Amino acid sequence: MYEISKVNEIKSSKSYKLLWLILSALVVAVFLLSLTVGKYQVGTFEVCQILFQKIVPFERTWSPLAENMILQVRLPRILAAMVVGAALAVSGAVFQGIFRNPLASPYTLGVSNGAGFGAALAILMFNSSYAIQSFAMLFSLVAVGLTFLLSYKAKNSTITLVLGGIIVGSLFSALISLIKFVADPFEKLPAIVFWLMGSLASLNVDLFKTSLLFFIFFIGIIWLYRWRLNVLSLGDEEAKSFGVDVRRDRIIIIICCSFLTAAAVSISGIIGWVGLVIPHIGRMLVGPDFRKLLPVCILLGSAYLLLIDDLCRTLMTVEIPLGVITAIVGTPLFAYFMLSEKVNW
Amino acid sequence: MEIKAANLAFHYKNGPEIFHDISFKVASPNVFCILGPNGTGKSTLLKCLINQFAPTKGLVYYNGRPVQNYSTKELAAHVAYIPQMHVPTFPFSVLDVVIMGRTAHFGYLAAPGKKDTMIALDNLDFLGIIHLAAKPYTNISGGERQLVMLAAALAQQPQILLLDEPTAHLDFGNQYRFLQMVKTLKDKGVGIVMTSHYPDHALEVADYTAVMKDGMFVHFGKPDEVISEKNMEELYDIPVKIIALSGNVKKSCIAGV
Amino acid sequence: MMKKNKRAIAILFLCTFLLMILMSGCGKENGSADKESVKTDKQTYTIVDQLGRNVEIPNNVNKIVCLQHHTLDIILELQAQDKLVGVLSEWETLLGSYAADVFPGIRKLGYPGTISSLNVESVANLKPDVVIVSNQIPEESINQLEKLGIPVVTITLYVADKEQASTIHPDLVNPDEAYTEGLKQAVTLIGQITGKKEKAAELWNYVVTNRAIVSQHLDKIPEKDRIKVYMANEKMNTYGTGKYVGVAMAKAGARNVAETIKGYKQVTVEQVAQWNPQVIFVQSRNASVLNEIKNNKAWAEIDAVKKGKLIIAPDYTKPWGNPTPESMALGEIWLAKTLYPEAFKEVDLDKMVQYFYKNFYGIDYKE
Repeated sequence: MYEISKVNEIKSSKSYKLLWLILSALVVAVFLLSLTVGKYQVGTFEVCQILFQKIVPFERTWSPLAENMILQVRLPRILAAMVVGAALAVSGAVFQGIFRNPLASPYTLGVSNGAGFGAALAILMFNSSYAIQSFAMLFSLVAVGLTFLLSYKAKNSTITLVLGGIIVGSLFSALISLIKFVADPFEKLPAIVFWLMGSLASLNVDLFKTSLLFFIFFIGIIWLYRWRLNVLSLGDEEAKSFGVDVRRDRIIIIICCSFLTAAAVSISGIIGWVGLVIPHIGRMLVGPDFRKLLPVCILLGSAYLLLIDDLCRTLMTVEIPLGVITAIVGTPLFAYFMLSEKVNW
Repeated sequence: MEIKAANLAFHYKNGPEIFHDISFKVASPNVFCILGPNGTGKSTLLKCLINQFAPTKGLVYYNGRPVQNYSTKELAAHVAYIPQMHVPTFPFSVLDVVIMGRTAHFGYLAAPGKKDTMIALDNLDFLGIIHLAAKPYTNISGGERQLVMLAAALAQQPQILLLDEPTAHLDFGNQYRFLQMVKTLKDKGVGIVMTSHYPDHALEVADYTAVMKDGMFVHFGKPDEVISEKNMEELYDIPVKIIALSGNVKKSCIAGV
Repeated sequence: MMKKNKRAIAILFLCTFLLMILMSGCGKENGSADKESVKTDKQTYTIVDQLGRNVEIPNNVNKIVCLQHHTLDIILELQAQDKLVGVLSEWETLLGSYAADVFPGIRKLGYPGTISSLNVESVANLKPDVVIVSNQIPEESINQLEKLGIPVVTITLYVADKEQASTIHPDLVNPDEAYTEGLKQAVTLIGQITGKKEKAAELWNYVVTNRAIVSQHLDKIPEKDRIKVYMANEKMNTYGTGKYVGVAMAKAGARNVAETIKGYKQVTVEQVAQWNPQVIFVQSRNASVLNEIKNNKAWAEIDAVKKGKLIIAPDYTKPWGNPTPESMALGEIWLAKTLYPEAFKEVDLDKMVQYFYKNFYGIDYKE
């Protein structure tokens, strides 16, 4: 038998403890920072007082407006940014893993476009956040279903799946264009366009609260599949010979990821690049093992999108769409990774 | 464990027949080596044996039970298979890849534990590649990768091992070491079905040998009988001599003499 | 092995719990004591805005954020601009630069949003007593502001039942009544909020007087002699029924050729040729559209082009989708006088325009 001391040497898991500590501290720091920045001036000390008033009995020296600003406006938005960031990063990492394609993202399967079409349709037909969410979910599943059907009818391989995703994605993006074309140019179109670029400016707090369970549930399920994901990301044939029911597990995981993406899309609109950039940074830090990669993606994704959203609400007096900033920040970052050859894929 | 193929035939949808009328029976700890030129359907046959493809005719049985009746997990706990070539995408560590071989032995949603790591390390040690354990799987040579996959297959602790041209990327020394390992596995009670391009390998380790040509077994039997000068000349269409070394203990096939 | 799963599930539950606790703080308004303290230091009264929402407005409004350009226009006409602390960022495109002539300080104000979106914190940072928005602002943004204790008034400029009120192109049963009542309501509301009730009444009376002049003079024109008019906008768009322009045309004795269309829509040249309008007019900001029409052979056979009846409406007519006091008081007269110069011979429109600008905006009108 091999010596246990050498096992630890090889796994060298100790060095990750420091990493977890740093990343968690980063998330907390960004969270607190985000509470204090904003167009409305509230002092840092006041923010802390408001935040901890239930624990420490401070004298109320702050205005009710400031308290409401922190608790009613900033806090929900900050939490939403974190949850959406984490969800997008997780589904990006998982899609890249199961398609063994470092460029995969919710886009690859047409999920984003499907969800986007559903939401745009709901904006056109109804005017309720719940309709938008249900339609986004429904059509993300329709998109995945179509993609599967295409790849199944052709030859159920990774390549046909990605190709099917491209076909379905293009179809839905054309349908989105159609909706934009028929939408009222003054009334619905700005809402659809703004929403297609992503934003948390008009966050529906109630919708977010009810979706919270969705997020936790699906991220939880994906976490349970962490080891299967490792095996699946090795290769279909290998995974199967190692005893993994590739088809079934892949369908379960893709459905979870699609719901996760749709839930994120229905809250914040379509936000690109988070699901692509964050998993890469995560893999640079801890490698491709999902047991470590998933938590890193959750921490990094939430901190990243939160920082981006801070920029959106503070750079200008008017709101900037999230998707615009994630692309502006994401593309050079990604180009740098590519050119610096720091990534190993 | 016993593997039995009964009248197997296979063709891709709308494609020509790859092989037909393949029947054999091998029980562990025997070694069965399938020889044959390129493109005769050896790899496809192995894929049918492990249920990656469903044969268009005939059935594969393990211990008398049709292979379709095994769940993927159940089959993997008894039979391991190493495909010919694997192009990795993500830089998993070699150790992690070998641990993946343990997947069939723990709970559906569980992650591997210490025991699985130990088994993986043991097998890396057994194949003499323990020094690779921490290296990224993407940064090792093709031959090393083949050994890593073999270690992963061994970590499955199978009763039958299906190997598709296991020596294709191995150097001269490693080929020899591999054959010694096959013998050790046989001693441990593992049955092996392998394809190969080298008659020598069959002569060295096999209990049974089949010669596959044009989609069927043209010869089947003990290696000494099957691998005759006449059969080999017919098979590969070149002049072949078989010579005995070390007083008939070891035989070798030499082409072009 | 299963132990690890249990730990992970425990962590997830912990996360859920933490998030729930954090979120529970967000949902409810903070303590009722605070609300009362807000109430007591300001006297308030309740109004009903144009979406039918009850809004509590402080008696003394000193700071207004206005994110609706028609409202901004009315505020300028009531000369209440000193109360503005923030306006929509695209005021210049939507209204025109005259707003800066009337109120030079507008360039130094905060721009915390647009007609269709706002930054809650930017708005709050201006510490407004009231925020006036259009019906294009998302409901969530209004809710957020109200949670901060900032009253939000929605101005739609038309009256419709509740279902329709939040849409920009409602299927108004009677567009004339809807817009006339709607503008009257808006002017009255804005007058009340800004403390310019009398000026608001004066403004509305002037509208009513001028409209009466138009209908008096039009009586002489028999129905069959009414002129067919087409309004050209960018990218072949035109206003059909349900928009104020259609109402203005009807009031001015013109027949909108696009009356079969609902709202603001794109049409084809073939369609326009079939309608064969006698007069084509454009908003002053779309003057280039007229050149396109003149230079395009496809238009050559249309009546209005053949006879050279291509007209740019002066700035003060404001022939927009929604009405303004100016368009009702001056624009309708202008259109009627342009179409039927004989009937309106003795109406001195220039004098009216100068009076309107001097008396309401407080400046001279410049072309």
